Amino acid sequence: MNIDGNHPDLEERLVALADLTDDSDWNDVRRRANALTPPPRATRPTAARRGWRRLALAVILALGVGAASPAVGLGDPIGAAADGLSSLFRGEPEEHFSTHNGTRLPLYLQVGGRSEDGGSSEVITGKVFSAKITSLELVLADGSVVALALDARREFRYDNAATQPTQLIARDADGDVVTRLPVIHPSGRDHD
Amino acid sequence: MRDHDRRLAASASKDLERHRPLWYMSATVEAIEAVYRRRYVGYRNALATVTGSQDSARDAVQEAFARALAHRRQFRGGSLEAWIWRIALRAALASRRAPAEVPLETQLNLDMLISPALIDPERDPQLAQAIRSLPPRRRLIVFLRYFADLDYAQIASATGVAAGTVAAALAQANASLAQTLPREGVGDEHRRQSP
Repeated sequence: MNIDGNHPDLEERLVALADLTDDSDWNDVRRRANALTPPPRATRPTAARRGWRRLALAVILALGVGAASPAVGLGDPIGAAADGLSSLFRGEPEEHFSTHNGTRLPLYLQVGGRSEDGGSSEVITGKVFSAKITSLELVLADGSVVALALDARREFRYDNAATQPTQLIARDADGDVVTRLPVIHPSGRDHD
Repeated sequence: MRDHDRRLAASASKDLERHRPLWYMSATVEAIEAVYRRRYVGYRNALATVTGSQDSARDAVQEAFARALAHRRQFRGGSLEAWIWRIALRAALASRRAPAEVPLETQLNLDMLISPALIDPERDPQLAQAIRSLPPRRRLIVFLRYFADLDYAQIASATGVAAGTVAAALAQANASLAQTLPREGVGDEHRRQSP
């Protein structure tokens, strides 16, 4: 036994059993490491980046549709009211947002118009990304109500001022109004 | 860990801090490759006592160094060799179990998880039997010392015990094995059997 208390034969016998074959392969290690490396950040936004996006979106919403009377216009997104906004941040944004026109909103509608056969028509495309909104209605100038599909293109034709859309109403599952937005027509006249 | 062990661990940790080479502080690709070049055979041999074969040990070592490369920013200083060994041990255990059961940073209970043993006991049956009589942690310390050629501080960091405990465990293991093994002409016959 040596001065450290080690039994010299033990060490020798163990070392004698060691397999000294060197079958190392650093390139294999690099290949495996590359397979484990996460994708570049540009394709996978970080939490901080998502946070900034949300903040920027909230500011846009607050400036554009938050305080003033919200309205629907040609190519304009419909901003959500306070209740709708809360749903904006529910869950993962990617599940509810659209990238339509580069804008991410819980609710997006577009109202366009053109003259046809001496009359007018409204082309309304809508897509709802708020889990809270379960139905959409279009209120016409004569007081009648037309239901809209949540996720479909709808062409709404009208021949006179009485059938022009004036309001868009979004309701939740209980039938309560989530947001009520006046429609601004392409001519710029507000039919509210 | 007992209070005595904790004090020893703290003391050993300070010693490690004082004597730590500069490159220990950063896990660069070059540093990891240097460890690989230097330790590959030793790690594979030591891991083989856990996995049961050289082939599976080789795969675990390759996987461990790949994980170390991919997650090198998670290295928080200390012995890079010990850090990679811990990853290697987890890779070895993961190859025996479902990977999800052995997360990268989980503190392992070595005595419960592993039972290292010589992979070719017939080459030295007396030694194999003597080693089997040791507790699992001591067995692993013996293999890390003589197969992986790690020093006491590195073994301490790799196994989560104090450097003093490593020294004591090795001394006890040697004493225990010396008692178990024949004292005259020991090893000569078995060494001759080695390839």
